[in-house]
Amino acid sequence: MSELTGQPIALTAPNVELCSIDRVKEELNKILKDEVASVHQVFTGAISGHALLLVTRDGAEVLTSLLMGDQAAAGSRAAQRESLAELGNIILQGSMGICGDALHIHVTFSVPSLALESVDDLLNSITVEDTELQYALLVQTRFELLKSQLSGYLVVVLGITSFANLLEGLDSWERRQSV
Amino acid sequence: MLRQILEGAGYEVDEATGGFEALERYSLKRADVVLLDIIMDGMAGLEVLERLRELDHGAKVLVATADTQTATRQEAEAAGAMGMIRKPFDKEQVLGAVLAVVAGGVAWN
Repeated sequence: MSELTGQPIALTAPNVELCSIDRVKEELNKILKDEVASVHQVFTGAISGHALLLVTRDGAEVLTSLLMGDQAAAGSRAAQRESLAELGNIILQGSMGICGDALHIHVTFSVPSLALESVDDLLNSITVEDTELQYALLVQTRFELLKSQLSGYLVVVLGITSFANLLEGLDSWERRQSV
Repeated sequence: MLRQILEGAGYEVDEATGGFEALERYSLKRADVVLLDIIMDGMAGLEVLERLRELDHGAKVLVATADTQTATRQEAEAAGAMGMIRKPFDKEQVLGAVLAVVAGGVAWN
């Protein structure tokens, strides 16, 4: 993201929590009020779930203008959406890819989709599609573009089966590290 | 972005918005090199790659992706890709990879 926006980025250490979807909503509603812009990618493999990049509506506008530069004002809505979705795609796949390699778990990604809606609507759309996602792993990382005072969040929602596979992958990783 | 980089370097660029269109365009006019996104609507990039290679065993395909997984690279290589360019695109990397593949080499760095 730093390369794309030309700005230094500060990342907080991730906060990881296993909680219900309702608790995820509660947590995200505390920090992201009103509508949020989300880039959403479904991933499948030994671990399947939903990866989300979330920023506020204002944050999305700042990001778009940083990404598109002079072209942002003149660019079509479609071009702005495409550039934001591509940024999300790069961040989500980059982050998930590093984890996948470390844990020897390969995942395949879907086409990223961009939406502007409330946290509740966003998470409802995910749970309606997949009833297994009643309980979820919430991985929350905050990033800040230092000059633009912008914060965003990465959220990975997993089902219980995938969570069990993730724990197994982590155990194997720990064993490999101790050899 | 890729179009800008390539046209800026003097290449002629033809663009397809999905896998089926890419296959159709390639069958009508064979490109010297194909830059193929792994994630696309309709048909997955690696399936498009396999079909392109069926259509033309000599097709030179560079896979474009933000996916950093080693297994993805191995899948692309097994499907017949000649190299990979990572997102976000870097002008030097893109042009270097295209030059290498057009010259008959590979570009996996």
